Amino acid sequence: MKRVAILLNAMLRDGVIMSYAVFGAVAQMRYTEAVSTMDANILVALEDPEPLTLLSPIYRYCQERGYQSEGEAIRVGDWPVQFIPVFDDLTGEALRFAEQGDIDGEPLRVVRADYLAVIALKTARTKDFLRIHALLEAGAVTMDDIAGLAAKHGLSSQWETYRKRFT
Amino acid sequence: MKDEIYSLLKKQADWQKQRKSQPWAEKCRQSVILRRTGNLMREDAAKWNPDRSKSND
Repeated sequence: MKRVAILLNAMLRDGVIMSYAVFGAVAQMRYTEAVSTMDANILVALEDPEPLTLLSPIYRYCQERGYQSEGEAIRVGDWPVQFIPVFDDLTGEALRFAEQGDIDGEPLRVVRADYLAVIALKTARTKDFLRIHALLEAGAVTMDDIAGLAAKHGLSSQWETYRKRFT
Repeated sequence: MKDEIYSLLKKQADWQKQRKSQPWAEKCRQSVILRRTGNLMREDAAKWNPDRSKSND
């Protein structure tokens, strides 16, 4: 993951992306025990608003440095890395308020636990519900944190449904 | 392949003692091992049967 962090920081420095933050399972593992995941998901903000060519600069930059694409991801060492442009207000805010983590001495921007939980609540697959549970169990986030952020993003009914079913 | 799978499973058992308190980077390394173990076991599913392999030894 250090190689991924180095690549992302280089992209930032070279102006390929405006900002980035790890989210999904890799971000979750900052707080919980290790989980199996297929890839590292990276939330990114880019300057070009054109949806069809949005990720082109990223792929070009990686290919110029010898990284190969693997389906929709770029292979960086042990990790297929998937770049996901900010896609709504919630992910935009998650990126803006991301924290700086550390991977073997290399800084790595990472989405906060409360945003991870509410993004999972919105995505609402079984593995997303497990993520919310794991974050709560690890004490990385409280039910009040999630309730507040869910309300701000119009997800109160989804939170109530989750709470009734799983807590 | 069986030896490699056993070796990876042994690593996972060792981690259970430490779990959440490890550095983030270490947990990412563990995640790679978890993925690799799962992939190998799926690839080798036809042969991967502990009971049968025991009787074959």
